[in-house]
Amino acid sequence: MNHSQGASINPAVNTTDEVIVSAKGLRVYYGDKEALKGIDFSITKLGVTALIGPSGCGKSTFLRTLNRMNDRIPGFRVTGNLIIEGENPYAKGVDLLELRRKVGMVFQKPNPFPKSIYENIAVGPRAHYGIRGSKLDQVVEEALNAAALWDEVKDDYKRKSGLSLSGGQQQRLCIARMLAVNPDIVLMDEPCSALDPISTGRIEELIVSLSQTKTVVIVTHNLQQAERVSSHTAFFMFGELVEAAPTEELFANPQRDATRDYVSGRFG
Amino acid sequence: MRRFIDPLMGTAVRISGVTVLLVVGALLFYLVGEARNAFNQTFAYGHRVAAQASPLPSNYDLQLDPNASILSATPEGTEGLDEKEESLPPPSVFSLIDSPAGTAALLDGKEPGPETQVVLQDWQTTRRAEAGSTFRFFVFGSPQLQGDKMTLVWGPDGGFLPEYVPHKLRLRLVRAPSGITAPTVDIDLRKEPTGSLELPAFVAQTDEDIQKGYLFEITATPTTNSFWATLGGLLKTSWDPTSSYARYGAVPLFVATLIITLLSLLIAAPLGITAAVFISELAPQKLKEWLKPFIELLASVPTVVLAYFGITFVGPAFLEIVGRLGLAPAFGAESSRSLITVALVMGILLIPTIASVSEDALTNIPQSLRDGGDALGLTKFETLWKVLLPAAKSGLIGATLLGMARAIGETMVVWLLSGGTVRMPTLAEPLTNLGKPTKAVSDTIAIDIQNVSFGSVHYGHLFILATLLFIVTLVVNLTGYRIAKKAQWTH
Amino acid sequence: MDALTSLGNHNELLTKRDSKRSLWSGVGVAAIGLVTLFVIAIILFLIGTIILRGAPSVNLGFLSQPPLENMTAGGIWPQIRGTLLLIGGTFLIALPIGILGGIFLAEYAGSSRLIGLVRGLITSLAGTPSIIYALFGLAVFVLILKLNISVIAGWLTLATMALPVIVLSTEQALKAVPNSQIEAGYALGMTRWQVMSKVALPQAMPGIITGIILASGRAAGEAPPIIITAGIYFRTEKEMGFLELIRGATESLPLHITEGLR
Ligand SMILES: Nc1ncnc2c1ncn2[C@@H]1O[C@H](COP(=O)(O)OP(=O)(O)O)[C@@H](O)[C@H]1O
Ligand SMILES: [Mg+2]
Repeated sequence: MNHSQGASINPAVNTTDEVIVSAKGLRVYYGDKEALKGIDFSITKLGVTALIGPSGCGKSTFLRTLNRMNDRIPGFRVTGNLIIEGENPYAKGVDLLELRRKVGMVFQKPNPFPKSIYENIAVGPRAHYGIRGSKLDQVVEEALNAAALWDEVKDDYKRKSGLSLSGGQQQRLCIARMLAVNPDIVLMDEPCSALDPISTGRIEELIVSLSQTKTVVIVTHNLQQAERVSSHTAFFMFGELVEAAPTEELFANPQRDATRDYVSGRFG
Repeated sequence: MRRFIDPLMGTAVRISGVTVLLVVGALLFYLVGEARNAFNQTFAYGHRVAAQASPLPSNYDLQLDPNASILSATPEGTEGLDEKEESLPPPSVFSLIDSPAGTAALLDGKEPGPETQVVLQDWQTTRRAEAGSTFRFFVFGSPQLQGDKMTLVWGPDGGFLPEYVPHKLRLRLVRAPSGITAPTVDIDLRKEPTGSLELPAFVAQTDEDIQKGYLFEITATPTTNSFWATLGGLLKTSWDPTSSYARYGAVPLFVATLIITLLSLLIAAPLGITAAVFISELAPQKLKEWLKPFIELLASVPTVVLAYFGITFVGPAFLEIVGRLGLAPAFGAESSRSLITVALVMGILLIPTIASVSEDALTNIPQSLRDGGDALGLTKFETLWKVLLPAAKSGLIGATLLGMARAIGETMVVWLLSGGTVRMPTLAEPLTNLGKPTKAVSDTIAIDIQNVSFGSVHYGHLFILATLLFIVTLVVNLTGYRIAKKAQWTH
Repeated sequence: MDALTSLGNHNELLTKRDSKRSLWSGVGVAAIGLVTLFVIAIILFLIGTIILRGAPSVNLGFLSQPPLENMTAGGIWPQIRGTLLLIGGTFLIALPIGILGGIFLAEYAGSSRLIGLVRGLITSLAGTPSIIYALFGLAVFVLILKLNISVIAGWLTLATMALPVIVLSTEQALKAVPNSQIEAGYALGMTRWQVMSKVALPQAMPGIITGIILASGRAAGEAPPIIITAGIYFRTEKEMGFLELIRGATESLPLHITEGLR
């Protein structure tokens, strides 16, 4: 696996790389409950950053705060500083559509729309870029290729429903759907937890190859998976960022006791 | 104690279960079973014939000619002649004072002879579809007849439409008076129900001479049996069970039901589905909790009350509006009881059904699809239009079908607002159908059943209508449920 | 991997597009809101019209007197009494049979093809037009059983109509009780009926009550069966015993309104 492309995440380790996501004192509340308790964390361009930690520690919350997927939740509040590609996504007058165009997301459970494979992918570029006809066909084909799904569906992707695919294929369809909008940052919230090992392997390959052109942030419960795919790993606990470091370092030589206990499988 | 209760309640449960099954069975059995009465239908038919001097006066009206013979088979009479009629003497040629010519009808199909009873009066008999018959009649001139020609005129008896009986009807010349050469006459009365025919004059100087005149016959030959004839009769376009030539063509009733159903769906489906989208996708939680029961409240308004609203407001309002716009003639609008009033009120009536089922279908869509749309950067409306509505499609179709079943069977609104006049919609000026009164299947059943005798043919026909209505609503309902169920997601 | 070379990234243009899309979305959402407002207005207007027209004449006298002077004055007490009488008797018949029948279908009948068919039939009978029940009641109860147009015939007809609704909602409510709880009941050594009455029925109660409300709305609100099997516009006899009352036809609200509108 190619980790060399991934730039290091922790500014303390490598400050030369361009920071694409930067959080300072980021706090998130659901009503009275503080789900993120002041996160200071930067993510640099390209590569894969894995977020690990026991469940309920706020990994998903952090991820969904980045593309404002939590806005709909009643009682949701953010304070602190967050900058994505030079802009604060929570600033007044922000173009939410643009944010979502820049920051794509793949969910834990594949959620293809109940439409044909083609239509699933075409929806995004049609809405954002207004393209149609053969240009659109081309984008759809490229997206399917990028998600390594083209060869499996090329015969009937215009007719076949996205829902008729297998779980792993559905997840790759969702990745293709996201890629068709051409985001810079890709958020993945436990994208393999609903899949079998073979499908998981294919998605992992895909994640690594994506990380050459996109910044990937992935939440995973599977420590081996974090080791396999990520260049950097961040360990969360109780709504706080405990430790973030290049993956090999974090697993081989954790600085904090909690991290050591977690990566050695003592809890979580 | 425990030991007794369990088998006791078990038995009670089973008895109730069987009772439910029996009720369902009885419902089907009697609904279909009572329809059998319709197949006792006898088919009434009748022609008027009259002889006149040639040429016919231009204002001649066969229906008003007192000397015309009515050869008719109607359910009112019995087989053959009434006793009273049988005792009637043959007419005297000299009694035909005002008429230069006459016809005299003869007992059912028999050859004339010395004993023959000849009557001028109509005679009545009732026929099953399989039973044909022959009516014979003489045609003669009275001593007043001038000229060497006379004319035979024929036409259906008032209210009789030849295409409604399962018979071939023919008019034939059996025998010409001796010494006169007449052409062969063999006319298909279904193709040529009214007509006239010029004949060389024959004058009866005495009453006995009548039987030496022209002898014609009208024959009715069955084309099918009562079963098929009754079913075929339903496919015709005139419903008039109380006429002496009763007609049970149910097509206009079903067409009216169809138009009312489609129009009301055209109103209710967009409104109901849009309201459902608002409640499910756009309304804040508080409003949602208040709005859904509010719309369902409409479903609990008794339909008689909706009909009241139709009569006091919707009908008059429609008349007023088209009147102001000068469109009243275009809509054929004369009364506030009309097809459009029914459709408008029915549209209101269907809104809660469609909205409620649609709302369920939308709420049932997994949250992950909304998240998917959001994450792709689609706007609220794009997510709605391109993701959620297609995802809820089967649920929405199911909702519309359930509304449709409701509209097909709804009775009170149609009964009180339709105006109760059977009317076959015209294709020529389609808009005029809307403003005119009509009569549909459900209200025909409700109104007619109160005025029929038990076991009559009319009674049986109402059960045929009910059975058809039952089958249609059953199919539409089950399809609706099934399609709506398909939308159920595995969350 | 070179992702999607065919998409350019003209951010300036895109931002303009975004605001246009947001505008359209706003327009669409507003349109949906307006249509919903229209629906609400129709319902408010309808209910308002009926209440405003009706309210002035409703008082204690109106509710407690019979109609007078050829139906042009007086009240509607006999109609109210008749309607209540019809609904009461209907439920006395339909409730026990319907609920026990629902239990039968849910827990005793098994799942043979025939029962599946019956289930489908009952589902659609719950949505079958009331005029069909009216016709059935007329043929079977009024004519064949010779009960004449009477309260008894009305009871039986309305009970036939209410039955599928009650059976169906009881069955569905029972089916919704988690199987694990039923099994837990049996595991405690309860008899079948005890499991039913102590575990399943209490949980299914809300669903069953919803069904009863639906059925009563149908029984009271659907005019054709009442008019055709039990209805009379007015009666001349003033006082009569209970037996006479139920053997004869009765005044009722649906018929009263219908006659008023004809
Ligand atoms: N919609 C919500 N409303 C209220 N609390 C929530 C919501 N979503 C998550 N939480 C709470 O926030 C905390 C972090 O949750 P989450 O980010 O989902 O954790 P993780 O993904 O690490 O398992 C948890 O304690 C959880 O209970
Ligand atoms: Mg999570």
